Amino acid sequence: MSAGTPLSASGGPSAAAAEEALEPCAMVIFGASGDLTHRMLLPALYNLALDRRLPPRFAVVGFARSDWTDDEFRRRARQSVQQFSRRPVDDAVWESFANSLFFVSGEYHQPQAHARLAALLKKVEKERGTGGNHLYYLALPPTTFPLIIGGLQKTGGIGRDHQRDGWARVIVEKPFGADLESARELNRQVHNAFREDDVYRIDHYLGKETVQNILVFRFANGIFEPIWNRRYVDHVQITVAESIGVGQRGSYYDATGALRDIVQNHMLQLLSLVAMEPPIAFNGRAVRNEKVKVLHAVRHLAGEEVDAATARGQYARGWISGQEVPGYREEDNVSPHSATETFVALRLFVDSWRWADVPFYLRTGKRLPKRSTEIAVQFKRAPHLLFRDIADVSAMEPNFLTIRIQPNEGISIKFLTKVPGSPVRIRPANMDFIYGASFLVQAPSAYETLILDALRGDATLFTRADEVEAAWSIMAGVLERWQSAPPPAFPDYEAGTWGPAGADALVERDGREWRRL
Amino acid sequence: MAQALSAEDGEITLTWSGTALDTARIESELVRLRRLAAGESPAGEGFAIRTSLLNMVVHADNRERARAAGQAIAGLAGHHPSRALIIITKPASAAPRIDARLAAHCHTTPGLEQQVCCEEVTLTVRGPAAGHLHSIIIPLLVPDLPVYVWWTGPLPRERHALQEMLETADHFIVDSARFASANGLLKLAQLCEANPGCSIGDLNWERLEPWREMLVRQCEGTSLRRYLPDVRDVKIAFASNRGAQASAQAFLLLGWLASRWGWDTAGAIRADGDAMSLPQDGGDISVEMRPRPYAGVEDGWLVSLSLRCPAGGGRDASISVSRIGDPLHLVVHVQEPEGSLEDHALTEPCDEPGMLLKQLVAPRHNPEYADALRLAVPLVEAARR
Repeated sequence: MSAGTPLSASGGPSAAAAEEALEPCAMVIFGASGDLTHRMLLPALYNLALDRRLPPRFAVVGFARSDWTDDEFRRRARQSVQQFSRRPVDDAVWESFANSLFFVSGEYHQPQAHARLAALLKKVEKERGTGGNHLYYLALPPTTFPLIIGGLQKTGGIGRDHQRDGWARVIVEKPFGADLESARELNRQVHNAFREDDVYRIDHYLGKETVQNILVFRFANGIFEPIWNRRYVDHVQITVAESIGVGQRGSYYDATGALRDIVQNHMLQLLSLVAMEPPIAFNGRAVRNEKVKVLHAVRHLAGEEVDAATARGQYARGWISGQEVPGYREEDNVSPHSATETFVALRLFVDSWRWADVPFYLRTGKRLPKRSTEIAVQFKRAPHLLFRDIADVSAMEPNFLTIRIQPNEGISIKFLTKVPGSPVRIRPANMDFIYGASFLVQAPSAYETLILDALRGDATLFTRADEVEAAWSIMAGVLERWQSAPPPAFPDYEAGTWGPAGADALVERDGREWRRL
Repeated sequence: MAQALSAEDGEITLTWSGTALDTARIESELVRLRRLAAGESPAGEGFAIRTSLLNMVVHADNRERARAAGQAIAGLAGHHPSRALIIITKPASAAPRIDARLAAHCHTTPGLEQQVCCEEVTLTVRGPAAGHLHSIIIPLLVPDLPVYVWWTGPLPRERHALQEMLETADHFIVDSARFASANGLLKLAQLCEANPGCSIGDLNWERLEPWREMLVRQCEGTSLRRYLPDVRDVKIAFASNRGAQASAQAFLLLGWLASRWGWDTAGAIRADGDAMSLPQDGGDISVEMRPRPYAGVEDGWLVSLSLRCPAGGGRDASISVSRIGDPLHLVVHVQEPEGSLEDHALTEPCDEPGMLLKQLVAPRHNPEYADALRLAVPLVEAARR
C-alpha cells in the first residue's frame, strides 16, 4: 500500500484527490464469465468507478469461453453490480463505466483467441490511450495458467524476450499450488513471463480493513508493542470459523480440504501479521520481508509431532441457526466415503526471540456454530492472585485482546473489574471497539482495495513467491503425515458444534481452552 | 420488518422486528441498530464503545413470562450492560421458523457523553428448531463473556432442551417457586448431578435470604446455639391461597437447616399427613409442613417456621420466625429457659429484577445452595411416598 492510501476510505472527491494520479491502463480478466468476476470483481470495479478512483481512460477486457459480445458482457455486468455491489447503481456512472467494458470470446489455448485479445487491446490503447499498460487478472484455476501465460508470451508482448511500452502486471488468484512442489512449479510458470515485482498473488483476507488494521494497531500505538512478546503473552488463538458448508464447491473442496483451503494461506497470513517484527518502512518490500521471516521461524512439524500438535475433523449432519443441515458426505459432488478434513486445529511455535515457547493455536472449520474470524491474544495472569481468598476465583479469567476480522470488525479487551459495592467481587468485562459503529462509513470491499493497489503497483497486501513457498513448507510435514496415517473415523463432529473432541484435547493437554466465540 | 426509535430521560431505545430470519441476519441487524444508536449519541461522532459484562439467555414458555423477564432485564440495563436473548418456544408448529424483535437500550451517562447499551433480542422459535436452541443461541452470544441462562418456567419432562441450555450456561438460574410441584427440585438435583461443572442459582433461594439471615443472627453466636444440636420439632407453614400442597421454599429451607446443623436427611420417612420424621443418632426430628391461606404472598412462600429443642429440666428452647401482617415484615420469637426476646425485620421486596441482580453479582458457585438442594432431595422423596 502506498503512502496516502486511506485505511478506511469512503471514497468521494476529497479521498480521491489526495491520492497520486494513476496511470491509464487496461485490465484483462481471464475467466470473465465466472463466479468470481460476477460476484466480486465487477462490483468492486464499479464501486471504484463510483468513487472516481479508477485510472483515467481505464478499460476492462473480459476474456472467457462464453460466446458473448461486448453488449452481452455489459448487460451481465450490470446484473452483477445490481446483485452484489455494496451500493446501488447510479445510471450516469454506470453508463460511463459500461462504455469501458469489452469482451473477447475464446478458448484459453487457442492462439487465434489470444490474437483477437491482442488486437482488441491495441484498439483500446489507440482509442482510449491506455498507454500499453496492462493488468491481467487470472480468475481461473491454476491448471489454465500455462495456457494463458503461453498465449500472452506469444501475442501479448509479455516476457523477458520482449521490449514493450508500458507495464504488464498479473494478479493470480489462490490456490497458489496444492503443496510445496506444485507451488514452486506455479511460480516458475508465472516467472517465465512476469518479474516477481509484477506478480500480485491475491489473498482477499489481506484486503480486509481489519487485517490492515492489525498493522496500525500494533505499530501506530505505543502501548501494545511493549507487551507483545513471550514475557506477557500466554498464547495466541487464531480462528476462522464458518457456519456454511461446502455449497457448490464440493468437488473443489473434496480435493482440497481445510488445511489447504484456509490454513496454508489465510491463517498463516494472519499469524505472520500478528507475529512479525516492526518493518523498517510501510512498503511492500519491508512489510513482506518481515512476514516471510515469521514463516521461516515457524517450527516445522513432522511424523508423530503432527499427531500431537494437530487435530482434523469432518462434519456430520446437525443443526445450525435452527435449520437441519446435511453432513459433509451428503453434500453435492462430495464422495460418500470422503476422508477430506473440514476442520483443522493445530499448534504452532514461532522460534524467535520474541515468541519462543508461546503457542499459536489455529483452528478453522466448516459448519461450526457461527461465522467468526478473529485473532485472540491471551495475556499471562497477574503474577500474584491478590484477591484469591476473598473473590470468586472462577470469575478471575485471563486478559484477552481480540481482533475481530469478520463479522462485526473491531477490537475488544477483556479485563477484570470490581463489582460495585461490598464485599470485593470480581467480574470480567469486555470493552469492545466496533469498527463500523465508530467510523460510520462503509469500508471498501477487500477486492476494491486490492485491485486499486495492483493498479497503483503497490504489492504490500499481496503474497510474494517466497511467502507462498514458506507457507507450503510449514504445511508439508502435516500433509505428508495425514496422507500416510489412516484417516480418523470421519465424520466426527456434528454440524453446529465447535469441532471434534481432538481439537479440545489439543489445547487441554497444554492446560488451556479454546476461546468461546 | 419494522423499526422504531424512542428517547426519554437519557435513554435511547431502537427497535427492529422481522420474521422468518436466520441468526446471521439477526446479528447484522443488531450491528445496524448499534450503528444507529452511535449516530444518536451526544458525542456526535458516534464512537461506540460497547461495554458488556455478560450474556443473559432467558427461556420463557409463553409471551407473558417473556414480557416479565424483559422488564426485569431492562431494569438491570443501566448497571449491567449485557446482551439478553429472550426465547419463546412453540415446538408444536410444523415448520422451523425464527421471528425476532430486537431492541437496543442505550443509556447516556451525564457528563461523560458515553453510552452504555443493552441489547435485547426476543426470539420466537417455532417447529423442530425449538428442540435445537443451541444452534440459535450460540451464534448470538457476545464472545467470551459469561452466559447466564434463566429458565423462567417449570422444568419440562423432556430433558433435551434443558440439557442444551445447561451446556450453554456458566450459571443456570431457575425459580423453584414456579415449578409445577416440589418434585421439580428432584429434577434440578438430577441435572446438577449429571452436570457437575454447572452452577445453579434459584430465585426462590433469594426469597429465603431474610429467613436464613434471621435464623443465623439469632441462633449462631448466641446462647440458643447450645440447644440446636438437639432440635426435635420443626414446623413450617407456607401460603396456599390457590391450593398449593407443597412448597419448594419449605424443602429448601429444611435442606439448608440440615446442612447448617448437620442433620442427616437420608433416612427421612413420611409419617401421618403433612409430617415426616428424620431419624438422627440422638433421636428423631419431627417435621411438619402445612399449607395455610395467607394474603399478600404467592402460593408456596413461607409463612412461618418454628424449631423446638429440649433445654433440660423438662423445659424447651425454641425459635420461631413468621410473617406478621405486612408480607414484608418478619418477626422472630426466641424462647430460652433464661428468658425470651422478640426481633423484627423488614425484608426487601422479592421483585424479579432485585433477585436477578443478586444472582448476577454473587459468586457463581454457591455451595450453600448446592448443599441445601442435595439434602432436600430425600425429604421431597419421602414426602412423595
